[in-house]
Amino acid sequence: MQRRSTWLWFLPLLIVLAAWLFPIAWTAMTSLKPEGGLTGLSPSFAFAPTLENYVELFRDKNYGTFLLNSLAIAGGTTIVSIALGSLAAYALARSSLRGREQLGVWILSLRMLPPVSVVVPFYLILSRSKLLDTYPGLVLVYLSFSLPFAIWMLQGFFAEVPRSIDEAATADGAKPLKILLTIIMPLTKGGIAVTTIFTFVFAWNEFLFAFLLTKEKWVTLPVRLGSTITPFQTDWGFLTAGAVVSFAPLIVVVFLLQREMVRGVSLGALR
Amino acid sequence: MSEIVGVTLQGVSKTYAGGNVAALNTIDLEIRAGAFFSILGPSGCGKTTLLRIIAGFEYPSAGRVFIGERDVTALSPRERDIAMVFQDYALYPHMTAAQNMTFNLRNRRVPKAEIARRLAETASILGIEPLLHKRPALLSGGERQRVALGRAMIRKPQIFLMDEPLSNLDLKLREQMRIELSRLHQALGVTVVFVTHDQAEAMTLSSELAVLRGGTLQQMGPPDRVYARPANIFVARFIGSPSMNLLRASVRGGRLVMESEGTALPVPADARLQEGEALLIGVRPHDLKVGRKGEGGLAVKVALTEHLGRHNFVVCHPVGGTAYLHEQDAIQFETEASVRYPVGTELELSAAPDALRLFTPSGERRDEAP
Repeated sequence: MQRRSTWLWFLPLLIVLAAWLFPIAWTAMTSLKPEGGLTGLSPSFAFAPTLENYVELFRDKNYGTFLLNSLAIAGGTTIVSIALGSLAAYALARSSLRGREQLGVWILSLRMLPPVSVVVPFYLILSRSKLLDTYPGLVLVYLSFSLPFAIWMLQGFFAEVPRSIDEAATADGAKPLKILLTIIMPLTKGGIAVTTIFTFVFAWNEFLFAFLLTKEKWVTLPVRLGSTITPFQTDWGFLTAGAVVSFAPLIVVVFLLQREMVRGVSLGALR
Repeated sequence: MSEIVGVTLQGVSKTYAGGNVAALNTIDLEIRAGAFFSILGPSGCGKTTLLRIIAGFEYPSAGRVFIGERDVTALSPRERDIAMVFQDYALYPHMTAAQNMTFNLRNRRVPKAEIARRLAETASILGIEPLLHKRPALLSGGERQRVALGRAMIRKPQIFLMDEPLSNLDLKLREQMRIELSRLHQALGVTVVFVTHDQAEAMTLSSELAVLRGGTLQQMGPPDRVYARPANIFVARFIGSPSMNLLRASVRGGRLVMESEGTALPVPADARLQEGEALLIGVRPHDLKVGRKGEGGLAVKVALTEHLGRHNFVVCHPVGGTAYLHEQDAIQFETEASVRYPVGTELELSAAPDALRLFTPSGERRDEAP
């Protein structure tokens, strides 16, 4: 009985999986096709796989640099967001400050701002402070969006930990920072993993700011990739290879954090 | 080992919400060193707030807290040398039982060998050696309780604070842990402050108890004394199960005559009562006896019998109406298990004069010998 229902589930799951996997597989496949064999985008399975698109990507077009730029910017944004975000979120989750909830909503509201509305001010600020096309410039701009988001997310996860656990740790002689690091954060690993992924993906995918606030030195992958599509010609092999390079790190990150993430998404599973 | 000390509260008050709600109202308490002291009261009476003020998780709005001779009013829980056992145990879910128990010692950088020695010692006292490598999620309620106790004990604190630690256990286990707590207290000789809403728990465990109601201290003293001489009708009703019967009466012709009814009970010998004085009479169910017909006493009709094995509780209604019952609609009394009264049986109940507790109409104890 049990076995049978498991099998019945299998088919729909397979269909959903295929629907999600197909575009990714197609992109990856196209990226392995030789340039000459590329007439269009129609999927064909008979071809001799080649890495020439990737070779071109990294050797001739210098994609290694853009990949590293993106990794550094998204990584830096994520690390700072989680580090500072945890401190703020813990304070927010535990303080008996009046207006605590309003403060939380206000912080979240920063995230609701349409980015395009602040792009010009940001441009002016960065250009006046000589931060255009610099690492700190872009990370700071990203932090203005990702930090509020991280604080709000983490605050929710931290608040799930019963207060008596903090109190027990206080009676056990631990100071607040120690409680955060040795009790609260280990207990909310899942939530931290989810927040990490969201923050990283946001910074990794971000196009608008990266497009306007960088020139050459700190150009990120999405910006570079976008510029390969031109009115005259689109090199599909090259574009798909670039796309694979763009999403591969995300898949790695999600795989690494997968176990914790599942735990984080199934809220209230704190035991 | 820390010196065994007591706790003193002087005029402790706590108000919330901008001073509108008084959670605690000028509490003075003297908890002797080595006492098993229970703070007893219905939910919302402020007993947990009081414990949290002793622990330092909350600060009093007024008044001072002393642990031993030391004024700890402004100190954080970390600086107070207290250990607390929480109602939900508050074990660290990601640590094993052993890690839970040693967290404090590790925080204080106690040498490893000493930690291991104390862990072994504490675990053997509590009989939890086989559980030490397990995480809380894998432990049963009783086992978690023991680990939480162990976490408190291993530190050898000056004061143990316990916030309804038995309330999450099933009845059987609760009785077992009650005995165990008693044994531990005797063995360790430490000061325990124990919060509970369960009067039976407080009666059996405590060397002294305080009854709290609405943030105000009602009575403090050894359990047997509080039971025998309740300070007011709240304490009288709250302690003892089933509750004390409270009857409205007045003194007429040397007898206590029930209000608007006319049946009567004898006057206690040493009570100096005024003719015509109105009183509330408290009489515990086991003090009410069935008298012979025509001797006077409370005329009642049996409504229900609860069989409890060794004895029965009989619920009955006054024949002449319930007007003299104070905030209750039936009288209860206790009989031997072998004695059975069919529903509807009419009886006359009386009590020995010295079994009666006298209160003023407003519910305060009327001192028998002023």
